[in-house]
Amino acid sequence: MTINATAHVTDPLGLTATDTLAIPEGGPAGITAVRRSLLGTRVIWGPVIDQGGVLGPTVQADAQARVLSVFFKLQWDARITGGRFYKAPLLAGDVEFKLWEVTGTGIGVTGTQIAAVTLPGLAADQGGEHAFTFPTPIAGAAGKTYAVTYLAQSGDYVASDWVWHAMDWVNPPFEVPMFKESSQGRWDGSAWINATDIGHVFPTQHFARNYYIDVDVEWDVTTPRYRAGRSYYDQWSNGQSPNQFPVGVFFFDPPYTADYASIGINTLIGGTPADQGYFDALKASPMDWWPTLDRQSMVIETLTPIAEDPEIAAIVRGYFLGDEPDMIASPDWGGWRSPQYFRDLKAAIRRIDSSRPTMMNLGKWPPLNMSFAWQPGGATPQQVNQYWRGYADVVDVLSCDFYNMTSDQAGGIYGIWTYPRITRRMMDLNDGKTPVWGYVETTAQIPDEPAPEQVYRATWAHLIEGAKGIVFFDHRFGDSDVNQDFAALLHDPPMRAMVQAIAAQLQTLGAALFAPDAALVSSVDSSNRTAGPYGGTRGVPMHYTTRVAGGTTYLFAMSIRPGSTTATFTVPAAAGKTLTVIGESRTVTANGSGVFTDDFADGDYTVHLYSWAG
Amino acid sequence: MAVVMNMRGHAVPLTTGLLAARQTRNVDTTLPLEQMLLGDGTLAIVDTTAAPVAPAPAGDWRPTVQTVGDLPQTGNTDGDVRLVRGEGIPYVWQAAGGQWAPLVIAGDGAGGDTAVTVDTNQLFRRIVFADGTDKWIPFSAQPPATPAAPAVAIRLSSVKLTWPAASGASSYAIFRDGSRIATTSSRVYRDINVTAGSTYSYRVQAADSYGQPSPLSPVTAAFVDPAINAAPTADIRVWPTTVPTGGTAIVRVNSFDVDVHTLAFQLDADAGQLAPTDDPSVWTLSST
Repeated sequence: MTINATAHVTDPLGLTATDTLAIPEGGPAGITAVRRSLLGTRVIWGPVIDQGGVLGPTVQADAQARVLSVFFKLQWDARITGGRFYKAPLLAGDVEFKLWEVTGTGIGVTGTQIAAVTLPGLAADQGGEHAFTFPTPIAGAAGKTYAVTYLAQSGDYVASDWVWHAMDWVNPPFEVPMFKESSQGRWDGSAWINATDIGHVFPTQHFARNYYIDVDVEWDVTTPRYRAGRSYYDQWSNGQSPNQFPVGVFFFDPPYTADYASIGINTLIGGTPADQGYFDALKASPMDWWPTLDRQSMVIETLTPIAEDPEIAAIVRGYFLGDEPDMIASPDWGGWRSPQYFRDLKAAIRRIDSSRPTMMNLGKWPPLNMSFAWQPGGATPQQVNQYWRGYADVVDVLSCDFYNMTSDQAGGIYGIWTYPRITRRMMDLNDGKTPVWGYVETTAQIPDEPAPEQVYRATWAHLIEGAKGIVFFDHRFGDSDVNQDFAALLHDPPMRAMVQAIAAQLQTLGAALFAPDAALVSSVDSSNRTAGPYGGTRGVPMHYTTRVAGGTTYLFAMSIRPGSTTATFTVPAAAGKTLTVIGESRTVTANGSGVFTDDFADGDYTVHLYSWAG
Repeated sequence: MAVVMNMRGHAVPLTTGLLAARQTRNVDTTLPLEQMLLGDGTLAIVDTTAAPVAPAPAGDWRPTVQTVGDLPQTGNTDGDVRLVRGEGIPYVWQAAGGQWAPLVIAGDGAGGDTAVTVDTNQLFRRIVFADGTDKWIPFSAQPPATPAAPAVAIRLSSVKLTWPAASGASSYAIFRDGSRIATTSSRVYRDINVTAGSTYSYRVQAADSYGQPSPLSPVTAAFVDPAINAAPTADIRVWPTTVPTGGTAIVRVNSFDVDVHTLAFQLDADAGQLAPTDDPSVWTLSST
């Protein structure tokens, strides 16, 4: 079956162009399930994990059985498939989970059980996260409230007093109304109940507590979702890059173009065609260019010079519509701009140039799921999430810059573990419609930070999560400790060498990085469930992906918390294979079942990249 | 038209000295700017209607106070300002609490900044602009040369003007049909507010760093001829390239035409279901 499409493009003076295309129909079903976890992208660490300044769940050992819960409302129809919980070390045996449909609102709600599943035979250990899946997905309805509970028969569970008490938690389609209390009673937030004599019943005693219960939902969409590959950019006649993988730098000045190009940087984000300096520099050292075009008054002035210069037109890949609109509140910076502002801007661009994609970079507030002064004034958590989703829906490539690897962040509560969550949060914001690029800082206002090795590891943290481009932020703002330098890595030999090595590596691995996750790892075990600075209970989990490209299979893996560990992977596709560890001059061998073990002990966030033929 | 007059200058940036004097003496800030800090460290009302004097006889306006030691020790009023030259390096001092102290004047902002060098013989003149603002500039500063007539590159949506540098110019004003439409520091300007079928006359006027204007350049006419319009292009792209069963594809109509500001897109399909989006060049196409 073929659909014949005919397009007419007409200018205001009546001249028209026509194109026709026979579009094949058929092939794989076009329904895609979009999945979302209530807490999976949560980056703000404190309210979920922090307990009295100690990072990590607080272990409770009560004298009686408890039912622990989380209450949530769905903003649109979605299937509730399961979730995960953080098991207290001493909780052992069978652990039952129930899903309840909640009736009523406020004080005195009741619940009707609609699903249950049991994780059998859990062992007393160091504690940790365990996933559960309901036997069949349960249809959840928009506007309805549900609760997921589990029974801690021995009274052993984990909790934090610092969540659900300050504001609603909104991660569409999830909405957890914050805990409320009046003289009449308590409601919303989470709940528990003493279950010693009554068993696993609906909990009725509400608290501002997090019991570390996450929930998974999924829903179907029929419009295309970006999963992988470069063909996405073929939608635009001028959108495809000749590079194997985008490795960019954010908004550098023209005089640095040649030097960045000399170390393998192939993409410039920002800059303006109104500056002849960019034209001259980019013609001398061509690279993909996404010039800034963030207001309608600049559309003609930006696009006309591009059209008039074939060399520039050949390298302009798309337009950078905005940087951190979630951060901008000051009128001096243009004030807060709504998603509609950017929709109108994109439409104005497309009425002149519809041959290139658009890009936007969000700031730190969406990953934190908070707002900068709650812009626009008085916005609620629900509203800011709608705005962020609106931004993410406008553009064709999305990114986020939230720089967490330096000591002022990592020494406190953040670190490289946040980078995959930042990428995933961006993927969630537009429900997977576009590629997401990852930002990595190469400088800071702290002398000698970040270390080049951190930059490498943060880069891979994004890539393993599925980032389809890397952009380095190289602006160092001066203060009493450091000089201002907006091309910092070029003037820092170790960092320069590292970025050059990363750029070269990503070109070599471009096909694999653009490939979809092949889901070839059937299980992975990390030996370290106790090390690390975050309270001693989270351990050092693994972050990994498998890719197949050009007759080679890859396993990209890293430890995604500080500390050392030994990981045991089971990869049936690697059974009996000798795996090359890329860049380490060594190999590992998988046994006949595809099991192999490797140490991740080269400092925090160790990365190993494995490949084998086949 | 500029009103020009002269006075003997000094190393302290004139506005700084003037403002300092105005501040320290609590002068009425509504007074006209012709109240000036003179070379002898006193405030004076300068006759703005006087004819230019160039140059003033040497020594006429030299500071009468030569060293710190020459500062009068009696009869001073707090806020009095004097110019002091010591070893050829003058400062502005002010009286406060019966003592003389260096006034914050220049350089790093610290009083008594020995890095400040001055030419106490420099002449200044005052220019007053049409909008009533004025500025003191070195007496020797001459207006820039007259720019050449701008060259024009005409598109349907814009007229691009370029012109060679005018001697002494630091900025250029662009006039269209007698009205100033822009000011730029470059030698390129693109007028995007044009209508096909119209003729525009362009002139350029240079200005130096003080804002002194040059004469207007000769006129260049630009006719935005509708006949130069070229047909747009059209290129249908689909993602994914096959409309999946029970699913939807995105259909884009690619075009790039800067000669008009508003391309209109239309898409038809003989099967499936087309739905427009908020992007005028994009539709969703659902399978049949």
